[in-house]
Amino acid sequence: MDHGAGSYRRYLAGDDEGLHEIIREYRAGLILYLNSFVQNIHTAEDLTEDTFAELAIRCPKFSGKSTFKTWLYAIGRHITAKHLRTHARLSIVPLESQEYLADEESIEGNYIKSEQKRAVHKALHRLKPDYRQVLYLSYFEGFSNAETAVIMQKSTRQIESLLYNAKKALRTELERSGFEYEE
Amino acid sequence: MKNDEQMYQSVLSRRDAYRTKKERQKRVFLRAVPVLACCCLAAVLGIGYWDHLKKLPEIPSVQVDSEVSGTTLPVTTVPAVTETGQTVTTAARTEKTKVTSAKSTETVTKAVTVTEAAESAAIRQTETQAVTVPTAAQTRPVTQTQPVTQTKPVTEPPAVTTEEPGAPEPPAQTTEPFIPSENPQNPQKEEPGTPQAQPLMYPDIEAAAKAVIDAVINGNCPGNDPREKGAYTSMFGSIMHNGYLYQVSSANGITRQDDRGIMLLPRARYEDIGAACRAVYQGQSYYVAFHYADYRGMTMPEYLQRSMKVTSDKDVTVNGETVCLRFADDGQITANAFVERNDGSDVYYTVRAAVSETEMLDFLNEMQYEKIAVYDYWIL
Repeated sequence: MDHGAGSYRRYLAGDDEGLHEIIREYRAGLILYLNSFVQNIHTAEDLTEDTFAELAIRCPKFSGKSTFKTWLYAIGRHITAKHLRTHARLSIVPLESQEYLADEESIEGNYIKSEQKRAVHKALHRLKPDYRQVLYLSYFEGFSNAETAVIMQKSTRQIESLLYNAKKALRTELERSGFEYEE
Repeated sequence: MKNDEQMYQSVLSRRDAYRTKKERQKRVFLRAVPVLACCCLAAVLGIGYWDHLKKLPEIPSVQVDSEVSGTTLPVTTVPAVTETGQTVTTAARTEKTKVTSAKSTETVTKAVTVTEAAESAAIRQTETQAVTVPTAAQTRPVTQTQPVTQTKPVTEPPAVTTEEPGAPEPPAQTTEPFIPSENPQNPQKEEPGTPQAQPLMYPDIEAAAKAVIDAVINGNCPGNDPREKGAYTSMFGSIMHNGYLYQVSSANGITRQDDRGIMLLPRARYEDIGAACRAVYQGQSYYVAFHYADYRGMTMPEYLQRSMKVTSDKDVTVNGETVCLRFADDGQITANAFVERNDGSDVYYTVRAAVSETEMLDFLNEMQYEKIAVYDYWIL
């Protein structure tokens, strides 16, 4: 159940604990989602903090047309896209940065409990950014195609097509790495 | 990596910093805006005032053309009428001149040029100049004291008298009617350089009526200065509003001096718009003017008090009408009484002469007046 809307209303009413609850509930997932963009866990963490700061400072209006999580992820995506436009940073993973990988594994391990899912999540890094995003939102966060379309600002049909191609690419990538899975 | 609590504290600190910054900006804004607004307002007012100063009309400087005993004196230029009918201009300096009055021969310090054309207004003007000597009068344009004259030939010489004492003349021939000290409660405060509309002389009442029509209908109003022109326009308008021009009738032993014409009087500080002429009764000369009054439903004493700020010395009843008599120090008597009470255009007369009270009352008892309709001279 999505409690984010209620927590956000309480924060707007002056209760800072509502913001605390939002951060507790959505921080890890948002970091991992934004990491699928920037491929840098620390940058994703900064962008996540920027997203929460956007909520805390600007206090944008939540209309309720979508779930609070969808709305929050859309804000995070918008901030990340703005960040990427500003810094024109390539989404290249610095493989030699073991420190980053350790942090990512730490938060990944806390957020993704299933071993199989963690293996899949690792394989996502070798996919195209759009494939990474759509698979993460659908497979790890459990968003429907419509919600994923709202977050990624695409149509549902585009999401369906993107999801089909992403699964196909993921399968190829997993087969290449010797991952065994069941249909 | 930050945990939840650290990220929460970080977000709160960023929010607090943002709010503090906004508060500071708001305070700076609230302090700066009034100051900037005042500066802008001052700049706008300054520019406006500067433009206003640049648009002020320049007062023409006047060349003072005479000096007496090393001191520059005001010059009064008054036209005089000669026996041949030519109008000449004479300049009279303010100096000690002996004049003959009805009661005694005295030496006064004033400009004494008195002409037929200027009548009492010219004397008033001259008196005013004498009062304002020497500072203000030195910059006074000569044209301001020059009466407008439209004269016809007369047979009498100018009334300028500088004769030896001991040869008294009839009082009426020595001084003109107006007495400057008549209105002590209303001192003249006219600024130097302010032009004053002078009376307009016409050969007869018909010529005056035609002039009224010409001014009102055709717009041919005399006067060069805008204020002077405005005074004449107001005068012609008042006459046109009343519809009649008045003059004393030659009847009952009273002889109107037609050869001295009729004078239209613009509004002055001490008299209303009107028409004036001269008459002779039992050898005495009388100045008779008919004025258009502004106040309705008032008695003559009330009107004099409220309009002219003068007080009647004695009220008598002549032909059923209250007549206010005022006695001047030089022997002149001024009589005022209403002759017509129309709705909004009352008419009263002013009779002035250096005669005794009995002679004045006799004249008033015998005096009749006539009026002509101005519209009769409107030729389509």
